[in-house]
Amino acid sequence: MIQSLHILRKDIRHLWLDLSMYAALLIAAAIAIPKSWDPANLSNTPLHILITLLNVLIPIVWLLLVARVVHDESLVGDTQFWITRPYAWTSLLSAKLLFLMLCLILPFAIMQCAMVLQTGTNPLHALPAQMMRLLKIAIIVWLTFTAVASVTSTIQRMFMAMVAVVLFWAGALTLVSGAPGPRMAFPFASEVFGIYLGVLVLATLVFQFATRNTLASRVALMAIAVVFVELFACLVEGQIQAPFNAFVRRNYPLSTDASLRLAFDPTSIPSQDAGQGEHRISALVIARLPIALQGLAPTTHLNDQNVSFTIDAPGYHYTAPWRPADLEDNSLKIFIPQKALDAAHGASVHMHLSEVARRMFPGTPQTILAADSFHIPENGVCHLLPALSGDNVSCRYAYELKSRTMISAAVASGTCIKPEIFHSSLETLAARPPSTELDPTVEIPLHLGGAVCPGTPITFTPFHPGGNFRLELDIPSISLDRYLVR
Amino acid sequence: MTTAMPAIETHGLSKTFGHTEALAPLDLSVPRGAVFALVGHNGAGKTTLIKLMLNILRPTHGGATILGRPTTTLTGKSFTHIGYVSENQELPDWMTVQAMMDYLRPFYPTWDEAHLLSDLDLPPDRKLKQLSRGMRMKAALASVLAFRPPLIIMDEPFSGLDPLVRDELIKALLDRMSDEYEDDPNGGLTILISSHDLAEVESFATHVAFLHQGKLLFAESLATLTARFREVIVTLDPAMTTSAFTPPITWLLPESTASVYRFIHTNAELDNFEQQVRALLPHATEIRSEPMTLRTIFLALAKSSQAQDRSRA
Repeated sequence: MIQSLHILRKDIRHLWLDLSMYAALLIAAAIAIPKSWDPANLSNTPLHILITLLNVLIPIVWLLLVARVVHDESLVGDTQFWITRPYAWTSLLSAKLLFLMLCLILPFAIMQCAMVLQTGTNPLHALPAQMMRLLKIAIIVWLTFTAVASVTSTIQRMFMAMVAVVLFWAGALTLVSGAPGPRMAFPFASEVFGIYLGVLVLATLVFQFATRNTLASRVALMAIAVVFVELFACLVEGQIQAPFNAFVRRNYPLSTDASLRLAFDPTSIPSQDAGQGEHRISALVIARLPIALQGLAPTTHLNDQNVSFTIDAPGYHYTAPWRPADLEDNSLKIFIPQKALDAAHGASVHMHLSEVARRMFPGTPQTILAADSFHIPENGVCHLLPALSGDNVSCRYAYELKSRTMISAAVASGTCIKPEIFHSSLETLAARPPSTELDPTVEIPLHLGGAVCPGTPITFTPFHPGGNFRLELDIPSISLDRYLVR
Repeated sequence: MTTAMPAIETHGLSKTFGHTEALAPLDLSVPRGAVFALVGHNGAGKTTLIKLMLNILRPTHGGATILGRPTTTLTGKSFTHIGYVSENQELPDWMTVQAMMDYLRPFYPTWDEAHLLSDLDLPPDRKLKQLSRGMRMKAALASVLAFRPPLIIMDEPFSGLDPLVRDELIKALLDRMSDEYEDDPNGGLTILISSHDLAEVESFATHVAFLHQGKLLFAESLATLTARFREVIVTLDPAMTTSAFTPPITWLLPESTASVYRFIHTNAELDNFEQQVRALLPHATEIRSEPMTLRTIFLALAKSSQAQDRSRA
């Protein structure tokens, strides 16, 4: 530990100028970004250019700092000063990780706290979300930079390697993301990928520090990337459906609630007007089936609804991947391959449909009186914009909106100075996870269909997860042609 | 001066890079307390051998021990007993000389740099990147001498240095050797120094090893070597004809004219060496043997090795 601190002190002494630059950029971000929240600065072009620059410069400084601190005791080559000195590899690795924690991550976290403080919310209440956000950035950015720096010898080589990494990701993900239509996000996908990348890249980093076997470490990093793309193809794109389906079915057990069921009404035909939307995506045609979800308590909401189905026509079988769906309007939009319609030749086919979803139960409602600025549940702050007519509430949360939230209030048509008619309004906000952007806050304008006047009570009802379930529906005979969106 | 366990020992140590054999299997023993010169032309395999000894490279075959420890098990801590100075070594250029010494001090329990910088005439406040090549080598040497290791390995430390700096470096090394290690029960300071300049190491080395094209031609004490190798000039009676004979393998590069037979004797320290010559050259009127320098010994061995290769081919 003493050796680690000694190396750390040397690194700080060596990189003080770089660290000062980094601190200046963070301070600039902590001042500029909150200024951009003010609607008065919406058209402040220099401010927005500065923020864009900061969004580019800060990651570049991360890259430079990581490269310089790791390359100060480069692991690549055989002429380095330190390799014939009494360095313990554990001390060296811990010194570099300590540097990243103290000089790169801690100032960034402080900058984010300073910004959160400026929203008027409590940074301490947002600590878990902040940790989650830092963990995300650590795995995606800092750990990747450190691993690449450990297998390169100069900043130029590291930069070229990072360009190769970015091109690889872009190319590989484009290749495996070619399937048309929306896809269900694999349950726990971010956790699986986070653990996969975090553990394996960290293990490679430790291996490289322990052995300085650069060739093996480079091969390991490339293998991790290739397997990641394969995993992505399997789990996110559902290219290998069997394990994906098995996992989804296991994670969403068949509903035991007898009253909750999917119902197909062959007598009804939902509107098949595509409207502004599309009626076809690539080789998939869109159909809207008269399927309704029955038996759901009115206060219960559903999250993460996804549907998969099979079609059996003479000489043809098709299993659809899991796709997001919304069953709350008594109809269900599905994507059918043109081949299925061709195989059916206008006749009826056998269809089996599975729907998975998460129940969301309402929590305790909280009513807040609107003011120029007022605190709301889930560590947020809202502001009234009196000069604007119509929607005039903008809310800002620290790091995330943890729960789906229903908001109800009486709103005025026109402005609050001259309100015409008051009517009650309802809006449901979907949960927002922590992002990886510089701005640690989540801004959500409320679309209540009118102006909220000072003193108006606004009720916030958070929803909490009440368990996953799956419903099955068997339709022995359905003529798909009848339900195609035109 | 020497104790039972050598400072460095190799057994069949070899290294290949792809299909290129950088070092043929090599057995070598560096006694403790020796100033061991590892000589050979550029590309002879000296640096590869040193990197194998320091576990910077992994051997292809064979093994080595350094201060009694297998080289493949050397860790950072081992380098509290081994000093390494190389012409190619990178230094923390952004540091001043004094800052480098201050930085390294906590790594070594035996650190003592008293008067070292002034003895070597090093400017403490000058950044390493602002130093001349000679000064940098002196700074590197100072950072090694300060922790008084029992073994110092130097890879071409004098390459490209002017004679004055070279003498200063050698003096600093030898002074330390005599001042600080003379009562050392472990046999004192061992120095292994590689060089392609044979004349410069001849003045202070106690042992020498020749590497040529990755092969060890020999390794022994300098005193034995210079006693063993002699250039022999035999004056023959021109009136008599010398019958053809095959020279012994200890005679290298034989050349003859009508009146003179000249060769390099590799075992000239033998008492009966003159008798041996007279037995093979009965018409010899005079036998003169002259001492050889390290350079001439090396040239003779290299030429002989090439000649053997050609005849084998």
